[in-house]
Amino acid sequence: MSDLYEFPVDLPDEGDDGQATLKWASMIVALATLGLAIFNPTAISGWVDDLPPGPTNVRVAAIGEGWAETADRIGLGMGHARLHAAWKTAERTDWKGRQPVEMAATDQPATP
Amino acid sequence: MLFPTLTFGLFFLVVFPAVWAARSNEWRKLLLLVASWVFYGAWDWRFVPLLIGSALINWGIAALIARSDDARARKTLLIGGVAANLLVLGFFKYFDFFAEQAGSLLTLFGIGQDAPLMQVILPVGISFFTFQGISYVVDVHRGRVPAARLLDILLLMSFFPHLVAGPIVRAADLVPQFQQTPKLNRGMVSMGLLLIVWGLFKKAVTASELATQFVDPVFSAPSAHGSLDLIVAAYGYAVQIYCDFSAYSDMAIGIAALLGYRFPRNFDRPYRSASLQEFWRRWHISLSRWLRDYLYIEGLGGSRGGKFRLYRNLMITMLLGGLWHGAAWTFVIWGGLHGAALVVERVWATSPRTREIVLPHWAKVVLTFHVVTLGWIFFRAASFGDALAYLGGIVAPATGAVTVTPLIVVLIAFGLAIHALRWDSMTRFAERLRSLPAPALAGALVAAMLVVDAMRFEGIAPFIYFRF
Repeated sequence: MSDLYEFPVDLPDEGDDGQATLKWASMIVALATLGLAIFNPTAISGWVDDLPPGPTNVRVAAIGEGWAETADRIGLGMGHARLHAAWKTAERTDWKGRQPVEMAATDQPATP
Repeated sequence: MLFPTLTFGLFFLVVFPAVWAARSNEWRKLLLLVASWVFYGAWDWRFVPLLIGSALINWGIAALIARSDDARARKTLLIGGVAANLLVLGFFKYFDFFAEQAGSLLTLFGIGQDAPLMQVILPVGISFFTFQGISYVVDVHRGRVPAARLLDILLLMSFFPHLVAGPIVRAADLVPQFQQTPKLNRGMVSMGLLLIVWGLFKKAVTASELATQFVDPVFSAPSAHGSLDLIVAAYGYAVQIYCDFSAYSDMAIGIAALLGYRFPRNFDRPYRSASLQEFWRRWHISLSRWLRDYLYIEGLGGSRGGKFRLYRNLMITMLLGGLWHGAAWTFVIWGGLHGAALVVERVWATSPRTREIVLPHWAKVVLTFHVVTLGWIFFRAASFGDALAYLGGIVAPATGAVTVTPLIVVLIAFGLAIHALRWDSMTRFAERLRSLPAPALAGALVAAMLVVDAMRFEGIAPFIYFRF
């Protein structure tokens, strides 16, 4: 075992301290935030739904849901949705490669 | 406010630019302090004064120790400082436990008394920040670190990335960083981001999926499951707790790095250890070092005084280490098991009869992993009786249901396979990332986080170590 990197974020120095690095880091954070907001709108609407009710939150929820619907219409969240569906299938699959009937039944709408 | 949530993401999106736009280092530290109190207050604002009070006490006592030339007065202040920290920890964490034990003992002697339980609420992270306070006071007394300014100690103990579940960052590591204006370099940023995403994956995908889909149901009703389920769930919990706790540490180290601060490593592929001694050099490193330096060596004398004293000290250290995790007998037994295994290792290595018997390395790794996994059963079980029932189900051929799925086995295999990675895999990957232009790295980050989000279980369970 090695104690060479007791502080894991200390990579070999490349002499790049300073404002340029901060600008680079800020751009990564900003672009990643924008990317996640665009491609994962359901996360935003889900988070807004969990907020305590109030006039501001209702407005925020409406914006969140509006964006989620728009993104859904133009297919922005398609990749995420497909991967999620595949993961859920893997979750339910048994050793014979089948999905138990009772689990599949829970996906169906309840009959009155 | 959990790290893998949108709420924390928004909190960080406010803190990150504010901290880097600060006019001076003092303003930066003040901003971080306020942000840390907001972060802590999001759980329960009533405990923010406790956090501040704890920092004030440690700062004050350390300042008095540093000013005093009288050895006896310094010693008295040290004892007072350590006692104050233990009193805070003892009241909030152990009062009800010991009151209950005292009540049971009185009942045993025929003096029927209801224990005066106070239902004390456990402040999140109290075990971590009190240990940090103790180490600061002891280090100042020993002359290892100078007494620091109030703002630095307040921030040392409140700094939000490590506040609720470590790593236990000592004053010697962090205060010198606070005294200088932090600077970012691309290595810190790329490694920080990599650790955050890796931590997110381990927690949200591996640990949460294992916990909710398999480990929790099996541990909550072991009698309803067959032996195979019980065995796989024990392995599952070993992987779950590693992926859960190391994920928090990774994210804490990564978040601190984006703010310009370095935290020490807290995990180093623990399940590849070939002995319990090695395991404790790789598992929760900041705690095991703390226990070694301040309890085993400083408090008990370490290996000074012969081998029986060494064995006694090992047992006491591990028993108290177990109790640190929680006020329950299961944690004491877990610590005792580790202590006993450490003693057996020492005896085995030094006894003339056994020291010639050397197992192959792979066998030692397998044996160590199984001793650790046996310990996890006590650690995870709700009570000693539940742990015994669980073990009974493994030993006796239990005929209950077999519910383990292929995905669970894949996740367990994954959690163990990552221990085979090279120790510098992350570093090498981060070195490649740091040369990427910002849009490319941001794109990779978005893709990775979308994959994690698509695979994660709905909702985020609290981290296991939050309750310690």
